[in-house]
Amino acid sequence: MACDRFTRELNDHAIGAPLGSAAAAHLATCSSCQMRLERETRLMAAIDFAIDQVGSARPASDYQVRLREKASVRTRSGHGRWVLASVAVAAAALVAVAIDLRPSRRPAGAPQGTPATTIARKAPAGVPEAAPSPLSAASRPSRNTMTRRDVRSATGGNGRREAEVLVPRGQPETIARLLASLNGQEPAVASQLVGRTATRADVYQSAETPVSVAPIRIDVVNVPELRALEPLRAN
Amino acid sequence: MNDWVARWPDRVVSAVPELDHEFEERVGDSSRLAFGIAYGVLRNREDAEEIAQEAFARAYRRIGQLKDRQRFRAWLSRMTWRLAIDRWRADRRRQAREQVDPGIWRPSTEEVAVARERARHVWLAIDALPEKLRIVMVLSAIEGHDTREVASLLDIPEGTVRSRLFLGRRQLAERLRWLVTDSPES
Repeated sequence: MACDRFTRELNDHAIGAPLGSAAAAHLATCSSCQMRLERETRLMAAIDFAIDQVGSARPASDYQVRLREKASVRTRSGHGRWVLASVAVAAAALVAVAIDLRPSRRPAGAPQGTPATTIARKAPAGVPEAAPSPLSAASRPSRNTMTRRDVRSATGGNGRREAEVLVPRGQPETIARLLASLNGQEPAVASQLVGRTATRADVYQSAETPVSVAPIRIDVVNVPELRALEPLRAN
Repeated sequence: MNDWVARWPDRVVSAVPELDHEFEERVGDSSRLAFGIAYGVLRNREDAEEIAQEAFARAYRRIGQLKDRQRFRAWLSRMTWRLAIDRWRADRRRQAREQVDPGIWRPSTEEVAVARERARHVWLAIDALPEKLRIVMVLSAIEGHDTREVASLLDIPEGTVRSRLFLGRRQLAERLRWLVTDSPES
C-alpha cells in the first residue's frame, strides 16, 4: 500500500522531478518501486530517443541552395509587382478602347477626315451614369489619370474607324497584345489579365473610376499601329 | 507634378533591395529552424522542406508588417508551425503513407524494427498532445535548442517552457507506458 503513495512521485522523478525524502527512503527499501522507476526511466529514454531522432533530422544537402534560389527569385520578382500593376491598368485602358470602337459620334454632317472628337462621357444602355470623378476636369493632373473621356475616336479616309489610346509609356506592345487578344484571337488571356471576364458595365465602371496611373507616363499611340504587333499568347 | 512623377518609381525601387538583402540574410539564419519545426510536425523530409519554403515565401510577402525585425525567428516559427499543422491536419494521405512506408515497416534487424515502432508510437502520442505542449516538445527537440531559445521563440517565460515540457513528457509517459509494460524486456 505504501508503494501506491509514491507511484506518481516516482513517475515524475523519471521525467526529471526531484524525489521527496519520504519517497527516497521508500525507494531505497522497495524492490517493486525500484523496478517501477527503472521501467519509467527506460520509457523516458525511449521517448527522448525518438524525439532526438526527429530533432536531428537534416534537410537534403541542396536544401539551403534551393531555398536561397527561391528567395532570390522571389525578391527579384518583387519588382514585378509594379509591372503587374501597370499591366492591370493597361488592360483596363485597353478594354475601354475596345468598347469604344463603335460608330463615330461626330456631330451629324461633319466632313470625313475631320479631327477626332472627344467621346462624351455617357453610360452604356442599362448602366447607371456614374458619379462624377472626384478629380474634376479642372483639378485632374493633366493626362495622368485615365478615364473614358481620354479615349478618342476618329474616322479615317477609308471610312474605317480608328482610335488613339493613352497607354503607359513603354508599354504599347503590352497594350497591342491585349488588344489582339480582345479581338478574339486569345480572349482568355485578356480576361485573365483583367482579372475576370469584363462586361460592359465592368469596363465602364473601371474606366470611370480614376485609375491609379499617376506615376506612369502616358503616351498616345494609334490603335492601328498597335494592331500590327504580335498578339499575346497564353503559355 | 511631372518631377514628382519622374522621381516616384526610383523611390519605390530603391526601398526594395534593402528589404531583399535583409530577407536573404534571414533565409540563411533561419532555414534550419523552419525545417526543424516542419519536420517535427510532419516527419517527412520533402514535406518539411516544402513547408519551410512556403513559410519563407509568406514571410517575404509580409516582412514589411513585422515591426520588430529582431523577432523574425519567433515570427517565422509561428508561421511555419501553423503551416505545418495545417498541412498535417489536411493531409489524410500522410497516415496512409505511414502504414505502407517500407522505411518504417521493413526491419533490418529486430532491434531496429522495435526502435522504429517505438518511435512511431512516440510521435503519434506527441501528435495527440495539446498544441501548446506539442509546440514546446517540437521546438525543444530541434538540435541546439535550450529552454531559453524556446522561450524566446514562443515569447513565453522559461519557467513556462519547463513546466510545459514536463507536462508534455508526463502525458507521453502516461500514453506510452504500455510500450515498456508489454515489451519482453520489462
